[in-house]
Amino acid sequence: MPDSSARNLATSGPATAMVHGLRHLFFTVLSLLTVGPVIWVVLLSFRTTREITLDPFALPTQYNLDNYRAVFTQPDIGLFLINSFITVAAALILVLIASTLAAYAIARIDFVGRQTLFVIFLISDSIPLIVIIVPLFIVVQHLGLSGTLLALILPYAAMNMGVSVYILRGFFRSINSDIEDAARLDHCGLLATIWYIILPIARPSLIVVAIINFISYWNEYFLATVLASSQRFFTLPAGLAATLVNKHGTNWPVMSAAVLMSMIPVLVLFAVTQDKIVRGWASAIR
Amino acid sequence: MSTRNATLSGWLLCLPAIAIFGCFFLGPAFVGAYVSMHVWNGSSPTLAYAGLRNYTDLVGDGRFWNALWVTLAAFLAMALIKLPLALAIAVGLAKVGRMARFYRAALFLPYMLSTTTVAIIWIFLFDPYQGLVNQLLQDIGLESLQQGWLGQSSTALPIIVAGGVWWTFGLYVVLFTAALATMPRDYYDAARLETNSSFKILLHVTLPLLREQIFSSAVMLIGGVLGYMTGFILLLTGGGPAGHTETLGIVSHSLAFRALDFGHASAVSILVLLLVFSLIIVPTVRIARTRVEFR
Repeated sequence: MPDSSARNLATSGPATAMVHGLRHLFFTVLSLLTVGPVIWVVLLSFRTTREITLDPFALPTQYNLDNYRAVFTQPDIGLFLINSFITVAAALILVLIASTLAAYAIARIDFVGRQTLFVIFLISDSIPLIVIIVPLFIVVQHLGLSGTLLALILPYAAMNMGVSVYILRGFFRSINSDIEDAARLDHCGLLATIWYIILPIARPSLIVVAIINFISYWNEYFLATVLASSQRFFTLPAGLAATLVNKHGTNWPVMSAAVLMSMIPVLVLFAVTQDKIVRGWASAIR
Repeated sequence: MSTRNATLSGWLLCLPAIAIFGCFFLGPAFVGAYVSMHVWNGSSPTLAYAGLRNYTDLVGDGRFWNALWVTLAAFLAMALIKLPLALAIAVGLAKVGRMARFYRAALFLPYMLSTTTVAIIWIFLFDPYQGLVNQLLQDIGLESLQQGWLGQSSTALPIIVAGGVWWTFGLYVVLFTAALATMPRDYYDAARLETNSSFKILLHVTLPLLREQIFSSAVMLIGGVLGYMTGFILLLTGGGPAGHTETLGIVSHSLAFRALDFGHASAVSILVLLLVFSLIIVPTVRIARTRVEFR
Protein backbone atom coordinates (compact mmCIF):
# COMPACT_ATOMS: atom_id res chain seq x y z
CA MET A 1 0.00 0.00 0.00
CA PRO A 2 2.68 2.58 0.81
CA ASP A 3 4.02 1.92 -2.68
CA SER A 4 0.81 2.61 -4.48
CA SER A 5 0.04 5.75 -2.49
CA ALA A 6 3.51 7.07 -3.21
CA ARG A 7 3.00 6.37 -6.89
CA ASN A 8 -0.37 8.08 -6.76
CA LEU A 9 1.20 11.16 -5.30
CA ALA A 10 3.95 11.14 -7.87
CA THR A 11 1.63 10.86 -10.86
CA SER A 12 -1.27 12.96 -9.64
CA GLY A 13 0.81 15.74 -8.10
CA PRO A 14 0.94 18.14 -11.05
CA ALA A 15 -2.59 17.20 -12.08
CA THR A 16 -3.94 17.95 -8.61
CA ALA A 17 -2.07 21.23 -8.54
CA MET A 18 -3.62 22.13 -11.85
CA VAL A 19 -7.12 21.22 -10.67
CA HIS A 20 -6.42 23.30 -7.59
CA GLY A 21 -5.28 26.23 -9.71
CA LEU A 22 -8.27 25.96 -12.04
CA ARG A 23 -10.59 25.92 -9.07
CA HIS A 24 -9.13 29.18 -7.75
CA LEU A 25 -9.28 30.69 -11.22
CA PHE A 26 -12.96 29.72 -11.47
CA PHE A 27 -13.80 31.28 -8.12
CA THR A 28 -11.78 34.41 -8.85
CA VAL A 29 -13.63 34.96 -12.13
CA LEU A 30 -16.95 34.32 -10.42
CA SER A 31 -16.11 36.74 -7.61
CA LEU A 32 -15.19 39.39 -10.18
CA LEU A 33 -18.58 38.90 -11.82
CA THR A 34 -20.42 39.51 -8.55
CA VAL A 35 -18.21 42.23 -7.03
CA GLY A 36 -17.18 43.87 -10.32
CA PRO A 37 -20.45 45.65 -11.10
CA VAL A 38 -20.61 47.02 -7.53
CA ILE A 39 -17.06 48.38 -7.79
CA TRP A 40 -17.93 49.88 -11.16
CA VAL A 41 -20.84 51.72 -9.50
CA VAL A 42 -18.41 53.02 -6.85
CA LEU A 43 -16.16 54.37 -9.63
CA LEU A 44 -19.12 55.89 -11.49
CA SER A 45 -20.14 57.75 -8.35
CA PHE A 46 -16.92 59.83 -8.49
CA ARG A 47 -17.12 60.79 -12.14
CA THR A 48 -19.14 63.30 -14.16
CA THR A 49 -21.81 62.55 -16.73
CA ARG A 50 -19.55 64.02 -19.43
CA GLU A 51 -16.63 61.79 -18.53
CA ILE A 52 -18.87 58.74 -18.65
CA THR A 53 -20.18 59.52 -22.11
CA LEU A 54 -16.60 59.86 -23.36
CA ASP A 55 -15.36 56.62 -21.81
CA PRO A 56 -17.47 54.56 -19.42
CA PHE A 57 -14.54 52.42 -18.24
CA ALA A 58 -11.92 55.02 -17.36
CA LEU A 59 -10.99 55.55 -13.75
CA PRO A 60 -12.22 58.73 -12.11
CA THR A 61 -9.82 61.61 -12.75
CA GLN A 62 -10.46 63.01 -9.29
CA TYR A 63 -12.17 61.68 -6.21
CA ASN A 64 -14.50 64.52 -5.30
CA LEU A 65 -17.76 64.17 -3.47
CA ASP A 66 -19.88 66.41 -5.71
CA ASN A 67 -22.22 63.59 -6.69
CA TYR A 68 -22.73 62.66 -3.06
CA ARG A 69 -23.54 66.27 -2.22
CA ALA A 70 -25.93 66.35 -5.18
CA VAL A 71 -27.87 63.44 -3.68
CA PHE A 72 -28.76 65.57 -0.69
CA THR A 73 -30.06 68.36 -2.87
CA GLN A 74 -32.67 65.96 -4.24
CA PRO A 75 -36.04 66.77 -2.70
CA ASP A 76 -37.29 64.41 0.00
CA ILE A 77 -34.11 62.35 0.39
CA GLY A 78 -33.93 63.22 4.09
CA LEU A 79 -37.59 62.28 4.46
CA PHE A 80 -37.05 58.87 2.82
CA LEU A 81 -34.14 58.26 5.14
CA ILE A 82 -36.18 59.10 8.25
CA ASN A 83 -39.08 56.94 6.99
CA SER A 84 -36.69 54.05 6.47
CA PHE A 85 -35.21 54.35 9.96
CA ILE A 86 -38.59 54.54 11.69
CA THR A 87 -40.17 51.75 9.63
CA VAL A 88 -37.25 49.36 9.99
CA ALA A 89 -36.78 50.01 13.72
CA ALA A 90 -40.47 49.65 14.57
CA ALA A 91 -40.95 46.52 12.45
CA LEU A 92 -37.82 45.00 13.98
CA ILE A 93 -38.98 45.62 17.55
CA LEU A 94 -42.43 44.19 16.79
CA VAL A 95 -41.21 41.07 15.02
CA LEU A 96 -38.54 40.36 17.64
CA ILE A 97 -40.91 40.60 20.62
CA ALA A 98 -43.79 38.72 19.00
CA SER A 99 -41.69 35.96 17.46
CA THR A 100 -39.64 35.42 20.63
CA LEU A 101 -42.77 34.92 22.74
CA ALA A 102 -44.43 32.67 20.16
CA ALA A 103 -41.30 30.64 19.44
CA TYR A 104 -40.73 30.11 23.15
CA ALA A 105 -44.30 28.93 23.68
CA ILE A 106 -44.18 26.59 20.68
CA ALA A 107 -40.79 25.17 21.69
CA ARG A 108 -41.23 24.84 25.43
CA ILE A 109 -44.88 24.77 26.45
CA ASP A 110 -46.94 21.69 25.68
CA PHE A 111 -50.22 23.34 24.80
CA VAL A 112 -53.17 22.24 22.70
CA GLY A 113 -52.77 23.45 19.12
CA ARG A 114 -49.04 24.22 19.18
CA GLN A 115 -48.27 21.86 16.28
CA THR A 116 -51.06 23.27 14.14
CA LEU A 117 -49.94 26.79 14.90
CA PHE A 118 -46.36 26.00 13.94
CA VAL A 119 -47.42 24.31 10.70
CA ILE A 120 -49.50 27.37 9.79
CA PHE A 121 -46.49 29.64 10.32
CA LEU A 122 -44.39 27.28 8.20
CA ILE A 123 -46.76 26.84 5.27
CA SER A 124 -47.54 30.54 5.05
CA ASP A 125 -43.88 31.10 4.45
CA SER A 126 -44.17 29.61 0.99
CA ILE A 127 -47.03 31.94 0.03
CA PRO A 128 -45.58 34.35 -2.55
CA LEU A 129 -45.85 38.05 -1.77
CA ILE A 130 -47.95 38.72 -4.86
CA VAL A 131 -50.77 36.59 -3.43
CA ILE A 132 -51.29 38.89 -0.49
CA ILE A 133 -50.19 42.26 -1.81
CA VAL A 134 -53.51 43.29 -3.38
CA PRO A 135 -55.67 42.23 -0.41
CA LEU A 136 -53.03 43.64 1.97
CA PHE A 137 -53.46 47.00 0.30
CA ILE A 138 -57.23 46.72 0.85
CA VAL A 139 -56.83 45.67 4.51
CA VAL A 140 -54.40 48.50 5.23
CA GLN A 141 -56.81 51.03 3.72
CA HIS A 142 -59.80 49.70 5.61
CA LEU A 143 -58.00 49.74 8.94
CA GLY A 144 -57.32 53.43 8.27
CA LEU A 145 -53.58 52.90 8.28
CA SER A 146 -52.82 54.41 4.89
CA GLY A 147 -51.31 57.81 5.45
CA THR A 148 -49.17 56.51 8.31
CA LEU A 149 -45.98 54.51 8.41
CA LEU A 150 -47.93 51.74 10.17
CA ALA A 151 -49.20 50.80 6.69
CA LEU A 152 -45.71 49.44 6.11
CA ILE A 153 -44.53 48.59 9.64
CA LEU A 154 -47.22 46.03 10.45
CA PRO A 155 -47.02 44.15 7.10
CA TYR A 156 -43.23 44.06 7.45
CA ALA A 157 -43.53 42.55 10.92
CA ALA A 158 -46.03 39.99 9.56
CA MET A 159 -43.98 39.22 6.47
CA ASN A 160 -41.00 37.85 8.44
CA MET A 161 -42.91 36.42 11.39
CA GLY A 162 -42.87 32.84 10.09
CA VAL A 163 -39.11 32.73 9.47
CA SER A 164 -38.32 34.38 12.79
CA VAL A 165 -40.52 31.99 14.75
CA TYR A 166 -38.92 29.09 12.89
CA ILE A 167 -35.32 30.08 13.66
CA LEU A 168 -35.97 30.99 17.30
CA ARG A 169 -38.02 27.85 17.97
CA GLY A 170 -35.09 25.76 16.75
CA PHE A 171 -32.85 27.59 19.17
CA PHE A 172 -35.19 27.36 22.18
CA ARG A 173 -35.55 23.63 21.61
CA SER A 174 -31.81 23.19 21.76
CA ILE A 175 -31.29 24.70 25.22
CA ASN A 176 -31.42 22.64 28.38
CA SER A 177 -34.66 22.87 30.36
CA ASP A 178 -33.09 22.38 33.80
CA ILE A 179 -32.54 26.07 34.25
CA GLU A 180 -36.20 26.84 33.62
CA ASP A 181 -37.28 24.12 36.03
CA ALA A 182 -35.06 25.72 38.65
CA ALA A 183 -36.62 29.08 37.94
CA ARG A 184 -40.08 27.60 38.28
CA LEU A 185 -39.21 26.12 41.67
CA ASP A 186 -38.20 29.61 42.71
CA HIS A 187 -41.72 30.76 41.78
CA CYS A 188 -40.41 32.78 38.91
CA GLY A 189 -43.31 33.68 36.58
CA LEU A 190 -43.32 32.73 32.92
CA LEU A 191 -42.59 36.21 31.57
CA ALA A 192 -39.92 36.75 34.22
CA THR A 193 -38.34 33.42 33.26
CA ILE A 194 -38.25 34.45 29.62
CA TRP A 195 -36.89 37.91 30.39
CA TYR A 196 -34.26 37.07 33.01
CA ILE A 197 -33.23 33.55 32.07
CA ILE A 198 -34.03 32.72 28.45
CA LEU A 199 -33.26 36.02 26.73
CA PRO A 200 -29.68 36.30 27.97
CA ILE A 201 -28.94 32.78 26.69
CA ALA A 202 -30.82 33.42 23.46
CA ARG A 203 -28.99 36.64 22.65
CA PRO A 204 -26.79 35.23 19.84
CA SER A 205 -29.78 33.82 17.93
CA LEU A 206 -31.82 36.94 18.57
CA ILE A 207 -29.00 38.97 17.04
CA VAL A 208 -28.95 36.70 13.98
CA VAL A 209 -32.72 37.06 13.56
CA ALA A 210 -32.43 40.82 14.03
CA ILE A 211 -29.70 41.12 11.37
CA ILE A 212 -31.58 39.03 8.81
CA ASN A 213 -34.78 40.98 9.35
CA PHE A 214 -32.95 44.32 9.30
CA ILE A 215 -31.45 43.60 5.88
CA SER A 216 -34.71 42.33 4.48
CA TYR A 217 -36.62 45.42 5.73
CA TRP A 218 -33.98 47.95 4.77
CA ASN A 219 -33.89 46.63 1.18
CA GLU A 220 -37.60 45.98 0.69
CA TYR A 221 -38.97 47.75 -2.37
CA PHE A 222 -42.17 46.17 -3.69
CA LEU A 223 -44.43 46.46 -0.62
CA ALA A 224 -43.03 49.91 0.09
CA THR A 225 -44.13 51.29 -3.28
CA VAL A 226 -47.54 49.63 -3.21
CA LEU A 227 -48.57 50.28 0.40
CA ALA A 228 -47.34 53.86 0.83
CA SER A 229 -50.29 56.13 0.14
CA SER A 230 -48.05 58.87 -1.26
CA GLN A 231 -44.41 59.66 -1.86
CA ARG A 232 -44.29 61.24 1.61
CA PHE A 233 -44.32 57.72 3.10
CA PHE A 234 -41.70 56.18 0.83
CA THR A 235 -38.69 54.44 2.34
CA LEU A 236 -35.26 54.80 0.73
CA PRO A 237 -35.54 51.98 -1.87
CA ALA A 238 -38.96 53.19 -3.00
CA GLY A 239 -37.98 56.85 -2.83
CA LEU A 240 -34.74 56.44 -4.74
CA ALA A 241 -36.48 54.40 -7.41
CA ALA A 242 -39.22 57.01 -7.77
CA THR A 243 -36.99 60.08 -7.82
CA LEU A 244 -33.84 58.79 -9.51
CA VAL A 245 -34.71 55.96 -11.86
CA ASN A 246 -37.55 57.82 -13.49
CA LYS A 247 -36.72 61.52 -13.32
CA HIS A 248 -32.95 61.58 -13.50
CA GLY A 249 -32.57 58.41 -15.50
CA THR A 250 -29.50 59.73 -17.25
CA ASN A 251 -27.54 61.16 -14.34
CA TRP A 252 -25.65 57.98 -13.56
CA PRO A 253 -23.05 59.47 -11.21
CA VAL A 254 -25.73 60.83 -8.88
CA MET A 255 -27.74 57.60 -9.12
CA SER A 256 -24.60 55.67 -8.21
CA ALA A 257 -23.82 57.87 -5.25
CA ALA A 258 -27.40 57.62 -4.01
CA VAL A 259 -27.72 53.83 -4.14
CA LEU A 260 -24.27 53.41 -2.60
CA MET A 261 -25.19 55.63 0.33
CA SER A 262 -28.43 53.74 0.78
CA MET A 263 -26.42 50.52 1.01
CA ILE A 264 -24.02 51.70 3.72
CA PRO A 265 -25.84 50.22 6.75
CA VAL A 266 -26.26 46.83 5.09
CA LEU A 267 -22.72 46.68 3.71
CA VAL A 268 -21.20 47.63 7.07
CA LEU A 269 -23.35 45.03 8.80
CA PHE A 270 -22.37 42.44 6.20
CA ALA A 271 -18.67 43.20 6.52
CA VAL A 272 -18.75 42.99 10.30
CA THR A 273 -21.05 40.01 10.78
CA GLN A 274 -20.63 37.99 7.58
CA ASP A 275 -20.48 34.61 9.32
CA LYS A 276 -23.54 35.34 11.46
CA ILE A 277 -25.55 36.42 8.44
CA VAL A 278 -24.54 33.41 6.39
CA ARG A 279 -25.28 31.02 9.24
CA GLY A 280 -28.56 32.77 9.90
CA TRP A 281 -29.70 32.44 6.31
CA ALA A 282 -28.67 28.81 6.26
CA SER A 283 -30.78 28.12 9.35
CA ALA A 284 -33.70 30.14 8.00
CA ILE A 285 -34.17 27.68 5.17
CA ARG A 286 -35.77 24.33 5.62
CA MET B 1 -48.11 23.25 34.91
CA SER B 2 -51.62 21.90 34.46
CA THR B 3 -52.81 21.31 30.90
CA ARG B 4 -55.35 24.14 31.09
CA ASN B 5 -52.82 26.48 32.51
CA ALA B 6 -50.28 25.51 29.86
CA THR B 7 -52.79 25.97 27.06
CA LEU B 8 -53.74 29.40 28.35
CA SER B 9 -50.19 30.66 28.72
CA GLY B 10 -49.15 29.04 25.43
CA TRP B 11 -51.82 30.84 23.47
CA LEU B 12 -51.30 34.08 25.38
CA LEU B 13 -47.61 34.10 24.47
CA CYS B 14 -48.48 33.44 20.83
CA LEU B 15 -51.14 36.13 20.77
CA PRO B 16 -49.03 39.06 19.51
CA ALA B 17 -47.55 36.96 16.72
CA ILE B 18 -50.96 35.56 15.75
CA ALA B 19 -52.52 39.02 15.76
CA ILE B 20 -49.89 40.60 13.52
CA PHE B 21 -49.56 37.57 11.28
CA GLY B 22 -53.30 36.99 11.05
CA CYS B 23 -54.19 40.60 10.24
CA PHE B 24 -51.39 41.33 7.82
CA PHE B 25 -50.53 38.03 6.18
CA LEU B 26 -52.97 35.18 6.53
CA GLY B 27 -56.11 37.30 6.79
CA PRO B 28 -55.43 39.17 3.55
CA ALA B 29 -55.20 35.84 1.72
CA PHE B 30 -58.84 35.22 2.71
CA VAL B 31 -59.86 38.78 1.90
CA GLY B 32 -58.32 38.17 -1.53
CA ALA B 33 -60.47 35.08 -2.04
CA TYR B 34 -63.56 37.15 -1.15
CA VAL B 35 -62.70 40.10 -3.38
CA SER B 36 -61.87 37.74 -6.26
CA MET B 37 -65.56 36.86 -6.48
CA HIS B 38 -66.66 40.46 -6.80
CA VAL B 39 -66.43 43.40 -9.14
CA TRP B 40 -64.72 46.22 -7.30
CA ASN B 41 -62.69 49.31 -8.13
CA GLY B 42 -60.97 49.41 -4.76
CA SER B 43 -62.69 52.49 -3.39
CA SER B 44 -66.46 52.24 -3.91
CA PRO B 45 -68.29 51.26 -0.69
CA THR B 46 -70.11 48.35 -2.30
CA LEU B 47 -68.80 45.24 -3.96
CA ALA B 48 -70.92 43.64 -6.68
CA TYR B 49 -71.04 39.86 -6.42
CA ALA B 50 -69.76 38.20 -9.58
CA GLY B 51 -69.41 34.55 -8.62
CA LEU B 52 -66.64 32.89 -10.55
CA ARG B 53 -66.88 35.26 -13.49
CA ASN B 54 -63.51 36.89 -12.77
CA TYR B 55 -61.92 33.47 -12.98
CA THR B 56 -63.65 32.45 -16.20
CA ASP B 57 -62.67 35.84 -17.68
CA LEU B 58 -59.02 35.12 -16.88
CA VAL B 59 -59.13 31.61 -18.31
CA GLY B 60 -60.43 33.09 -21.57
CA ASP B 61 -57.86 35.90 -21.57
CA GLY B 62 -54.68 35.60 -23.61
CA ARG B 63 -52.91 38.05 -21.29
CA PHE B 64 -53.33 35.67 -18.34
CA TRP B 65 -51.98 32.68 -20.27
CA ASN B 66 -49.05 34.69 -21.58
CA ALA B 67 -48.22 35.75 -18.02
CA LEU B 68 -48.49 32.17 -16.81
CA TRP B 69 -46.00 30.99 -19.44
CA VAL B 70 -43.64 33.89 -18.77
CA THR B 71 -43.77 33.09 -15.04
CA LEU B 72 -43.12 29.39 -15.58
CA ALA B 73 -40.36 30.12 -18.11
CA ALA B 74 -38.65 32.52 -15.69
CA PHE B 75 -38.99 30.01 -12.87
CA LEU B 76 -37.64 27.10 -14.91
CA ALA B 77 -34.76 29.11 -16.35
CA MET B 78 -33.77 30.40 -12.90
CA ALA B 79 -34.05 26.93 -11.37
CA LEU B 80 -32.04 25.26 -14.13
CA ILE B 81 -29.26 27.85 -13.96
CA LYS B 82 -29.18 28.67 -10.27
CA LEU B 83 -29.47 25.29 -8.61
CA PRO B 84 -26.76 23.37 -10.53
CA LEU B 85 -24.48 26.44 -10.40
CA ALA B 86 -25.00 26.91 -6.67
CA LEU B 87 -24.49 23.20 -5.98
CA ALA B 88 -21.30 23.08 -8.05
CA ILE B 89 -19.99 26.15 -6.26
CA ALA B 90 -20.86 24.74 -2.84
CA VAL B 91 -19.08 21.47 -3.63
CA GLY B 92 -16.09 23.42 -4.99
CA LEU B 93 -15.98 25.84 -2.05
CA ALA B 94 -15.57 22.89 0.31
CA LYS B 95 -12.25 22.18 -1.42
CA VAL B 96 -10.57 25.57 -1.66
CA GLY B 97 -9.50 25.84 1.97
CA ARG B 98 -8.89 29.20 3.60
CA MET B 99 -9.99 31.27 0.61
CA ALA B 100 -13.51 29.80 0.87
CA ARG B 101 -14.59 32.50 3.30
CA PHE B 102 -13.46 35.25 0.97
CA TYR B 103 -15.12 33.73 -2.11
CA ARG B 104 -18.32 33.10 -0.21
CA ALA B 105 -18.48 36.74 0.88
CA ALA B 106 -17.93 37.88 -2.71
CA LEU B 107 -20.60 35.56 -4.10
CA PHE B 108 -23.09 36.52 -1.39
CA LEU B 109 -22.59 40.28 -1.85
CA PRO B 110 -25.28 40.83 -4.53
CA TYR B 111 -27.86 39.26 -2.22
CA MET B 112 -27.26 42.15 0.19
CA LEU B 113 -28.37 44.72 -2.42
CA SER B 114 -31.86 46.15 -2.64
CA THR B 115 -34.20 45.76 -5.63
CA THR B 116 -33.55 49.38 -6.52
CA THR B 117 -29.77 48.96 -6.47
CA VAL B 118 -29.80 45.80 -8.57
CA ALA B 119 -32.22 47.37 -11.04
CA ILE B 120 -29.98 50.42 -11.36
CA ILE B 121 -26.92 48.22 -11.91
CA TRP B 122 -28.81 46.29 -14.59
CA ILE B 123 -29.82 49.54 -16.29
CA PHE B 124 -26.16 50.64 -16.22
CA LEU B 125 -25.14 47.36 -17.82
CA PHE B 126 -27.82 47.02 -20.47
CA ASP B 127 -28.75 50.58 -21.38
CA PRO B 128 -28.70 50.68 -25.21
CA TYR B 129 -26.71 53.96 -25.43
CA GLN B 130 -24.20 54.19 -22.60
CA GLY B 131 -24.63 50.70 -21.11
CA LEU B 132 -21.47 48.85 -20.19
CA VAL B 133 -22.27 45.81 -22.34
CA ASN B 134 -22.87 47.73 -25.56
CA GLN B 135 -19.81 49.93 -24.92
CA LEU B 136 -17.72 46.84 -24.37
CA LEU B 137 -18.96 45.31 -27.61
CA GLN B 138 -18.01 48.50 -29.43
CA ASP B 139 -14.54 48.60 -27.87
CA ILE B 140 -13.75 45.07 -28.99
CA GLY B 141 -15.14 45.68 -32.47
CA LEU B 142 -18.36 43.69 -32.23
CA GLU B 143 -20.75 46.58 -32.96
CA SER B 144 -22.97 44.16 -34.85
CA LEU B 145 -23.90 42.51 -31.55
CA GLN B 146 -25.00 45.78 -29.93
CA GLN B 147 -28.71 45.80 -29.22
CA GLY B 148 -31.46 47.24 -27.04
CA TRP B 149 -31.25 44.42 -24.53
CA LEU B 150 -34.24 45.29 -22.38
CA GLY B 151 -36.36 46.74 -25.16
CA GLN B 152 -36.55 43.84 -27.57
CA SER B 153 -38.66 40.75 -27.13
CA SER B 154 -35.95 38.16 -27.73
CA THR B 155 -33.55 39.40 -25.03
CA ALA B 156 -35.69 41.13 -22.38
CA LEU B 157 -36.68 38.04 -20.38
CA PRO B 158 -33.22 36.41 -20.54
CA ILE B 159 -31.67 39.66 -19.24
CA ILE B 160 -34.22 39.79 -16.40
CA VAL B 161 -33.53 36.14 -15.54
CA ALA B 162 -29.79 36.83 -15.60
CA GLY B 163 -30.41 39.66 -13.15
CA GLY B 164 -32.33 37.36 -10.84
CA VAL B 165 -29.56 34.77 -10.99
CA TRP B 166 -26.80 37.31 -10.35
CA TRP B 167 -28.74 38.84 -7.47
CA THR B 168 -29.63 35.75 -5.44
CA PHE B 169 -27.58 32.69 -6.36
CA GLY B 170 -25.27 33.37 -3.39
CA LEU B 171 -28.11 32.50 -1.06
CA TYR B 172 -28.41 29.05 -2.64
CA VAL B 173 -24.65 28.56 -2.36
CA VAL B 174 -24.96 29.22 1.37
CA LEU B 175 -27.90 26.86 1.64
CA PHE B 176 -26.10 24.00 -0.10
CA THR B 177 -22.86 24.68 1.77
CA ALA B 178 -24.68 24.35 5.08
CA ALA B 179 -26.39 21.16 3.93
CA LEU B 180 -23.14 19.59 2.71
CA ALA B 181 -21.46 20.35 6.04
CA THR B 182 -24.02 18.28 7.95
CA MET B 183 -23.75 15.22 5.71
CA PRO B 184 -22.61 12.02 7.40
CA ARG B 185 -19.01 11.18 6.44
CA ASP B 186 -19.69 7.43 6.53
CA TYR B 187 -21.83 7.64 3.40
CA TYR B 188 -18.89 9.02 1.47
CA ASP B 189 -16.44 6.53 2.93
CA ALA B 190 -18.78 3.71 1.94
CA ALA B 191 -19.23 5.16 -1.54
CA ARG B 192 -15.45 5.51 -2.01
CA LEU B 193 -15.13 1.74 -1.54
CA GLU B 194 -17.46 1.25 -4.49
CA THR B 195 -16.25 3.83 -6.94
CA ASN B 196 -13.52 6.35 -7.62
CA SER B 197 -15.69 8.58 -9.74
CA SER B 198 -16.55 11.83 -7.97
CA PHE B 199 -19.33 12.33 -10.45
CA LYS B 200 -20.99 9.03 -9.54
CA ILE B 201 -20.75 9.88 -5.85
CA LEU B 202 -22.33 13.24 -6.55
CA LEU B 203 -25.12 11.58 -8.51
CA HIS B 204 -25.86 8.67 -6.19
CA VAL B 205 -24.96 9.99 -2.74
CA THR B 206 -24.88 13.78 -2.57
CA LEU B 207 -27.89 14.58 -4.73
CA PRO B 208 -30.29 12.14 -3.02
CA LEU B 209 -29.18 13.45 0.37
CA LEU B 210 -29.76 17.00 -0.82
CA ARG B 211 -33.21 16.53 -2.24
CA GLU B 212 -34.92 18.31 0.66
CA GLN B 213 -32.68 21.34 0.14
CA ILE B 214 -33.24 21.20 -3.61
CA PHE B 215 -36.95 21.11 -3.00
CA SER B 216 -37.01 24.00 -0.55
CA SER B 217 -34.81 25.98 -2.95
CA ALA B 218 -37.38 25.41 -5.67
CA VAL B 219 -40.12 26.66 -3.33
CA MET B 220 -38.06 29.76 -2.54
CA LEU B 221 -37.51 30.29 -6.24
CA ILE B 222 -41.23 30.31 -6.98
CA GLY B 223 -41.71 32.70 -4.10
CA GLY B 224 -38.94 34.87 -5.49
CA VAL B 225 -40.21 34.94 -9.07
CA LEU B 226 -43.60 36.05 -7.74
CA GLY B 227 -42.16 38.21 -4.96
CA TYR B 228 -39.03 40.35 -5.21
CA MET B 229 -38.70 39.72 -8.96
CA THR B 230 -42.00 41.55 -9.47
CA GLY B 231 -40.47 44.79 -8.17
CA PHE B 232 -37.33 44.19 -10.25
CA ILE B 233 -39.31 43.68 -13.46
CA LEU B 234 -41.50 46.71 -12.70
CA LEU B 235 -38.38 48.88 -12.51
CA LEU B 236 -36.64 47.44 -15.57
CA THR B 237 -39.33 46.82 -18.18
CA GLY B 238 -42.72 47.15 -16.49
CA GLY B 239 -43.67 43.88 -18.21
CA GLY B 240 -42.76 45.02 -21.72
CA PRO B 241 -41.90 44.85 -24.52
CA ALA B 242 -45.40 43.72 -25.54
CA GLY B 243 -45.86 41.52 -22.47
CA HIS B 244 -42.68 39.51 -22.98
CA THR B 245 -41.60 39.99 -19.37
CA GLU B 246 -45.10 40.19 -17.91
CA THR B 247 -45.28 37.66 -15.06
CA LEU B 248 -48.45 36.88 -13.11
CA GLY B 249 -47.17 39.29 -10.46
CA ILE B 250 -46.98 42.14 -12.95
CA VAL B 251 -50.48 41.36 -14.27
CA SER B 252 -51.98 41.32 -10.78
CA HIS B 253 -50.17 44.55 -9.86
CA SER B 254 -51.22 46.37 -13.02
CA LEU B 255 -54.84 45.15 -12.84
CA ALA B 256 -55.15 46.40 -9.25
CA PHE B 257 -53.13 49.58 -9.21
CA ARG B 258 -53.34 50.79 -12.80
CA ALA B 259 -56.70 49.47 -14.04
CA LEU B 260 -58.30 49.63 -10.53
CA ASP B 261 -59.86 46.23 -11.24
CA PHE B 262 -59.44 44.60 -7.84
CA GLY B 263 -61.70 41.66 -8.63
CA HIS B 264 -59.61 40.33 -11.48
CA ALA B 265 -56.36 41.25 -9.70
CA SER B 266 -57.41 39.20 -6.66
CA ALA B 267 -58.47 36.31 -8.89
CA VAL B 268 -54.95 36.28 -10.37
CA SER B 269 -53.51 36.20 -6.83
CA ILE B 270 -55.71 33.28 -5.82
CA LEU B 271 -54.79 31.36 -8.99
CA VAL B 272 -51.12 31.98 -8.16
CA LEU B 273 -51.73 30.57 -4.69
CA LEU B 274 -53.37 27.46 -6.16
CA LEU B 275 -50.57 27.10 -8.70
CA VAL B 276 -47.87 27.30 -6.02
CA PHE B 277 -49.62 24.89 -3.70
CA SER B 278 -50.30 22.42 -6.51
CA LEU B 279 -46.61 22.52 -7.41
CA ILE B 280 -45.32 22.00 -3.88
CA ILE B 281 -47.92 19.76 -2.26
CA VAL B 282 -46.79 16.41 -3.71
CA PRO B 283 -43.08 16.80 -2.86
CA THR B 284 -43.98 18.18 0.60
CA VAL B 285 -46.07 15.15 1.46
CA ARG B 286 -43.42 12.83 0.05
CA ILE B 287 -40.63 14.37 2.11
CA ALA B 288 -42.82 14.39 5.22
CA ARG B 289 -43.52 10.68 4.70
CA THR B 290 -39.89 9.64 4.20
CA ARG B 291 -39.01 11.57 7.34
CA VAL B 292 -41.49 9.49 9.30
CA GLU B 293 -40.08 6.27 7.83
CA PHE B 294 -36.38 6.85 8.24
CA ARG B 295 -35.90 9.12 11.23
